[in-house]
Amino acid sequence: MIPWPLAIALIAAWLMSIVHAATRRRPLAWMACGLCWIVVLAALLLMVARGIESGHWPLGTRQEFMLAYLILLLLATCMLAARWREHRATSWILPIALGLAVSLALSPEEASAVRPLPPALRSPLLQAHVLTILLADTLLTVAGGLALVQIVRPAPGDGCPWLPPDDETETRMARLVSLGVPWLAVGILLGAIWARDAWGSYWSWDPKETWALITLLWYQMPLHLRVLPRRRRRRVAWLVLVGMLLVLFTLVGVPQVAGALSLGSLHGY
Amino acid sequence: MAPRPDQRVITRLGRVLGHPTYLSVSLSLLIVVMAVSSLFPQLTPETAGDAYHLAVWLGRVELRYGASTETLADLGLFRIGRSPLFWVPLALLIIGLLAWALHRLAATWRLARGSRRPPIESLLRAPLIARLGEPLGTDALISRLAPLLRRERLRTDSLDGSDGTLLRLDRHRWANWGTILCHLAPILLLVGALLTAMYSRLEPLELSSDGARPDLRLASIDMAADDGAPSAVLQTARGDILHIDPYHPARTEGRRLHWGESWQIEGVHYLALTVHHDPGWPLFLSAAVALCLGLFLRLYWRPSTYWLRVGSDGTLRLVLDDAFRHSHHQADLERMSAELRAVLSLVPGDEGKG
Repeated sequence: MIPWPLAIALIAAWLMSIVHAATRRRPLAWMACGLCWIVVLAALLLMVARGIESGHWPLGTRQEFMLAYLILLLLATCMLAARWREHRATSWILPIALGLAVSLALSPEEASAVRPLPPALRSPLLQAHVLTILLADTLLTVAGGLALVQIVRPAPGDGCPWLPPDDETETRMARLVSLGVPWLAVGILLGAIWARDAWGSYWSWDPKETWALITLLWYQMPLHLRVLPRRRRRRVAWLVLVGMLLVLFTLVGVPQVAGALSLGSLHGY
Repeated sequence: MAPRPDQRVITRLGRVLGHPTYLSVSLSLLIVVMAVSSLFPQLTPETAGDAYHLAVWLGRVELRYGASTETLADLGLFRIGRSPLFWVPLALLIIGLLAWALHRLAATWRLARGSRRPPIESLLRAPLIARLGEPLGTDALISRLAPLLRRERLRTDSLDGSDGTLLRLDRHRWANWGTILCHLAPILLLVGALLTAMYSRLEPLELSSDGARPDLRLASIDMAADDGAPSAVLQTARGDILHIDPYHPARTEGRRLHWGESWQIEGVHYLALTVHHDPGWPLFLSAAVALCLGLFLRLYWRPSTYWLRVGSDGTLRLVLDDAFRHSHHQADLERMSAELRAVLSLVPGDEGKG
């Protein structure tokens, strides 16, 4: 779905961000960000081209959703680095974007083909549902990247030169979770309203619905367990990291499991 | 007056049930049950209400799970929404939420209304952030703090202090209503879901183009529209025109009509519809909207309340309200203390000059 040069550009950006974290050479950070922006622009052009070719909004298939997810994830990573003036966290978030880019580059032609939108999906409510879930997934994934930073930190404090400051990382991780969770709730609600019209009931215990709700419930734990002494705060980071894995599992894993167990998910992707 | 022993037991029980550990355990139980249920096909009310689809579904399930089908069905794994496996941890969670609400709601309510009592004990124990060289009245102090209050978007209220001046500095106080909404809305949402599970029903309705029914008539039907989805136009007895297709129900006189099947015999078109009655939906929708609103209020406009005490001896002490303790509250407090010293042109500790 995306050409290999873009995935290679992301690999280069990741390597540059690693070297920047190790050496603190700022030009490398800027070059990594520049490469990310190039990938974002190219992916945006791809999306627009798909939209024009198919004649509908380019979020009708899983591949298209993942392409949009990649764009937003890279945008969020660059914006976080720019606002924070701290690029060392980038090397921990980029591998997730890289995984998405590689899976998109490896996806078979058949899965990436432009298809007409099924009648059930032609609804503004569904578009709003997909967009809000996309926004929530992006924010929670970036929070997961920062959680990884907190987990690999050898000891609480700012003693590690290749990691961003402890307190700032934690504050931003908590903030991103706080920003992502309401959108996840809105996304699930919009999906329920749409499903009531399209499928007759607002909740069908479809595997995708169930896992989206599990993810929302899971994030209540890091939201409520912020009041912890410093030595126990790594638990919150673990919860946020598992939350990110739940987000990714809901997106990628659940359709695979539902297919393998012949559960007949109502969700297209 | 000291509380009676039974009151103490109730208070203690409330604290245990509303404690984050209890809530985390019941939430984890619920998550595990839901995760396990997602590995089994779920019987929806639509399938259960249709004899043919139900027979097909049952055949598939029996073929797949063989002799263990009955055991799995008894456990409720094919209809998790109605299974005790789901309702028990959910009930435990709701009890915890209610206990939290009883235990903390009054405090949150007072915070939202701005009538919370100052934490005098905490203020007395708080470290000294600076000492004013000359006594300042409340109005003079507020006017000196004005640039900081504007910059930090803090609202000030002065309270009667027995010794010196006591100020409450609030940011986004109204966002505390979000906390109340977030914790009460899930309870209402589940009541709505319960009403749906218990009282929603589906009724078949068959229409034909020869207009056999007096209240509703199939005006036209297009089996192969340009976009591939069939669609139909219905006409009510009052002459209202309704459009319906498999993904967009029609609404009339409080009923929701869903597309079922369509066929044609000797030039007459037939359309089978399903009429949905769901008394739980309005409550479910209202509660879900309230929950989302509460989440946005609480998490996007983070409220904070600081208490600033200026003693008659000129000592300045600052605390962040207990309700806003979070992992970086110490950093918040230190930053705010530094800002206060800067705006009052003071230096830290006892050596400050006004």
